[in-house]
Amino acid sequence: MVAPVREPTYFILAALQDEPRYGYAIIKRAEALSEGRVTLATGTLYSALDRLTAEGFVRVVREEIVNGRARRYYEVTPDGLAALRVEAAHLANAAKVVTDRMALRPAAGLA
Amino acid sequence: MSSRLERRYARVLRLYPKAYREERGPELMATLLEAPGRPMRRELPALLLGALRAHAGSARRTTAGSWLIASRIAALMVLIYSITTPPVRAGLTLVYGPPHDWWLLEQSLPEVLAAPVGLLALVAGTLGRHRMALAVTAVAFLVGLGTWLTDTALEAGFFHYLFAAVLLLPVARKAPPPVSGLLRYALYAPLLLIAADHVGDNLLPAVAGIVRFGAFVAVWVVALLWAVVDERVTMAVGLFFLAEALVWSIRLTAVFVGGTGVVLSSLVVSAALTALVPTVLLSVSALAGRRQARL
Repeated sequence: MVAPVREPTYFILAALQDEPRYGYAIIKRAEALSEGRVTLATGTLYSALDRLTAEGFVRVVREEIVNGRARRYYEVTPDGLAALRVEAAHLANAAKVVTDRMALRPAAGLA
Repeated sequence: MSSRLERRYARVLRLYPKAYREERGPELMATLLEAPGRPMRRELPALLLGALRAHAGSARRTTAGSWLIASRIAALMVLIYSITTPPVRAGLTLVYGPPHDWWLLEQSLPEVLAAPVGLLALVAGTLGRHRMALAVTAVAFLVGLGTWLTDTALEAGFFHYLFAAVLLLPVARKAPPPVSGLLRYALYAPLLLIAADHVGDNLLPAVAGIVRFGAFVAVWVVALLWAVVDERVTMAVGLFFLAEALVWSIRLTAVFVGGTGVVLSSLVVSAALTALVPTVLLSVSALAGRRQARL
């Protein structure tokens, strides 16, 4: 059974879904995907990456030095992708509970 | 500007454990410097919290696993408190009190006799021999109880051994991982309380009450705030204070049954107030534990 996922962790995994990314690129991508709702602080990002790496949901694929600074690229593993999909389905079901009733509401109002 | 910012971040990153810094430091710094528009005050809280969590052990934990470790730490805390109180009290009586304070020593006879057995239990528990620790703790309780029943002593401190044994029960069934990180410093909390409780009375009699209350508040407030960093400390301190509250209730009941004129309502109010601290600590730590269990 996959553990429940916090919102920042969800968007970190989502940011890595398409391609491997490094620290700051993950922050920017998570912010874009969440439409500005999740703005990760650097300390929060690396705490989450530590947990995700320990769980085997994320792994380092390559390291580079750019402008004299270390850059480590992370990718989501198949287990991480599975956890992301489970959480996405869970959120979709939760959203459906509301959207389905919203669709029924005008009809109920006319009756 | 960049080099000044880099120096300031470097100072903050020094708060992380050395091994963590070696592994993650350059990468953290690169990410921090890549967003020059971000104010440092926005990054600082997460960095400080990250550093504390790195020291405390930030790996994801299951709720049951956290409670198991907390139960072990709380059992050791209760044992430390139980075996340290009688010699401290006896030592202070010898130094400051004779002859008028000898009654205190006589009243504490069950605790005094149970303490050496409790010490063996503490050693076994510290070495990870939890079943042996459980058995020896039970013996310590029986030694205290035997003396209590045949004596006129009023102190019920040896009941701590009963609660230490209860806390050791789940640990004896399934051994938790060894204690690491800042969690081990929770074991010093009982010593602080004993020092404030007994030493303050003799060394600083004028402010003994303030010292005692201050130490108590300091331990429980720090434990409460620490739930953000490591909920296991809050759980352990909460369980420790729960044992203390239960012993306090037994003590009051013994006094009440002994017919020393204590009013029942004051007994109930006193027990309720004593139970308030562990209730808050255990509720907060339970919530923090559920959050920590999430990915």
